[in-house]
Amino acid sequence: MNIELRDICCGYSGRDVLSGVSLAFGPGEIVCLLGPNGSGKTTLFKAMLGLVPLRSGSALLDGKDIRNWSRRTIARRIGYIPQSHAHPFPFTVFDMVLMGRTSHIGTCAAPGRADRLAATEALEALHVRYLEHRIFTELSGGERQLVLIARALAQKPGMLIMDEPTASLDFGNQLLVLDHIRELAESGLLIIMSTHLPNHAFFFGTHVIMLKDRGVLGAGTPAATVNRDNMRALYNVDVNIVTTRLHDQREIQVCVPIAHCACDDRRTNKPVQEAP
Amino acid sequence: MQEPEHSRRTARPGFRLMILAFSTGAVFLLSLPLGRYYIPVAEVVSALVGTLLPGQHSIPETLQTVLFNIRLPRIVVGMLVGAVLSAAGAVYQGMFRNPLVSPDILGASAGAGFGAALAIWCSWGIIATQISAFACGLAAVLAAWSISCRMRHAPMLALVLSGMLISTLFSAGTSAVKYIADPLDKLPAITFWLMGSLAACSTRDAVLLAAGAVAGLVPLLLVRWRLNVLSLGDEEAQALGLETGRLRFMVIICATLMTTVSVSVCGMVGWVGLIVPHLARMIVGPNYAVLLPASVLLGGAYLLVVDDLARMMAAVEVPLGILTALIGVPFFLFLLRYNRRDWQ
Repeated sequence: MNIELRDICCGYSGRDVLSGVSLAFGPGEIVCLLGPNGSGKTTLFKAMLGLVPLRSGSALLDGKDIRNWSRRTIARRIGYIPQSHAHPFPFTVFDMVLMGRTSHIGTCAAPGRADRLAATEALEALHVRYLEHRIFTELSGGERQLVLIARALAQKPGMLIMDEPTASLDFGNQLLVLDHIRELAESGLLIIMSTHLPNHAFFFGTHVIMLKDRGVLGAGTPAATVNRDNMRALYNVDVNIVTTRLHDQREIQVCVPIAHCACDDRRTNKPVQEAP
Repeated sequence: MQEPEHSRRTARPGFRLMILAFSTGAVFLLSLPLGRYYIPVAEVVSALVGTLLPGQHSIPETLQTVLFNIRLPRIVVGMLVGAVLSAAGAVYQGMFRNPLVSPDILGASAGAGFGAALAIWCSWGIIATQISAFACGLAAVLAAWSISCRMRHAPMLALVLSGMLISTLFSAGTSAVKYIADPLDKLPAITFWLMGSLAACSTRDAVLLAAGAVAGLVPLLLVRWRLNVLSLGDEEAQALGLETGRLRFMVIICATLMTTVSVSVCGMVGWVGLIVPHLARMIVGPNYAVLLPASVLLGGAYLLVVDDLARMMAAVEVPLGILTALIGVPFFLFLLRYNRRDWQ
């Protein structure tokens, strides 16, 4: 499935958070969205999901404008995995994943046999079927993330949007989640995720979008986009991009942070004089 | 592929619901003989049988009057009030994603209380009092709703805030009416009415309440599975394909209808809508597919037991509102202490 944004502007209560953003992606791609806090990553996702109204421009799914689509129609095409946050009620994992079927169930109906099957398949696809009787709120962060991805899969979408899927996960769980994401992309899903680690883009990204100051700072393949100039412009951080050879002879690139550069300190907004 | 083996957690609630239904029925039957005028169980049974199968034998007139004109309506009203307040509390707790919410959070009770106080002060009749209570309760919630619609950015917070504002406004109105009311005559009437009581319930009240309960409960029961999704929060629910605005509007209308009808029939009965959903959640879990019917059954049984106590405990009837608070507060403390898992 394809998504396209054409020159969109959107924001909250009179203030533009994004303006003039255009992009287009297709099936099987993994798009990593980089940008400092507050650069509009989540707003961009909401624009794709039709959750914030567009001031101008349009969002298209498979070439069709989603402006007047019902929530149900959008939910059958895009699965959204929000940043994990507190849930007040102790639903079981299975009930949680079953809620992914909302867009396939009639307004006055309860989930049926087909829905339970879809939920089970989704849990199996992520190898977390063993969790189905557990209480969602009692799971570890990594397990919770996998369950939320399973819920999105139960929607049977063509594309997944993930808001910082690895935030607050430990080193091992990050890799676990990333491996699953790669598997999903190989099965033909379009994946768009935000992240704070440029190495995620090198790890499996096919595209990178850099958001800053309400617009796109850079976009393209990870190798072409994640470079010293862009990283300095994006985060005020000096980096080295290092190419290293793995023991299986694959070459990969790694982004190594060196220092926060003082030349344009955002906190004081005062240029610091360079040493002679 | 085979259908997944179904978890015990989702299979057993059906059984638990059945036990709840039986218990509620038992409480109903056991409440019939109880009261100032004790009717032996055998006479209750023979009167019931005699009414269901007419022509068998005659029933003494006093028994007939007490049982069918006084006790039965009171029991039915008690069960319905408990059921609708618990249902309204359960759906509100999910919608506001907060287990500490009660059905009057949007000002329904405060509005209805003001309407009733006003009507008593104006010496309107009993029917006019009920209409006034209902209309003011509805007006309060609609006012809260329309204020919140102007704050689109955080719809839930806006609703809670405007509900608080409107409640304060109507409570102030009630105080004002009490202040200017005749202290010998009207003031006690208003005060007693606000304490809540089932003592004066008639068959007409029972019918009115039943109509309100059906109108409010049936739509909620129909969409009860979707209430789970609504409890995930606005954005998550929308991303899953739920039209949250529409569902929320329906929930508010139904809950308000039920709350105001119950306040207009028997005054303010607090704590039921807060506690019973918790109790139900402890028994059947948080899934609204079973939680909502469980709350309805449990609420009916709970308020009936409390009302049995109210009419048996002392020489004079204890106002229901006092008893529900006396039982509710310790129970709530117990929940806070031992059952923290339900809200984190």
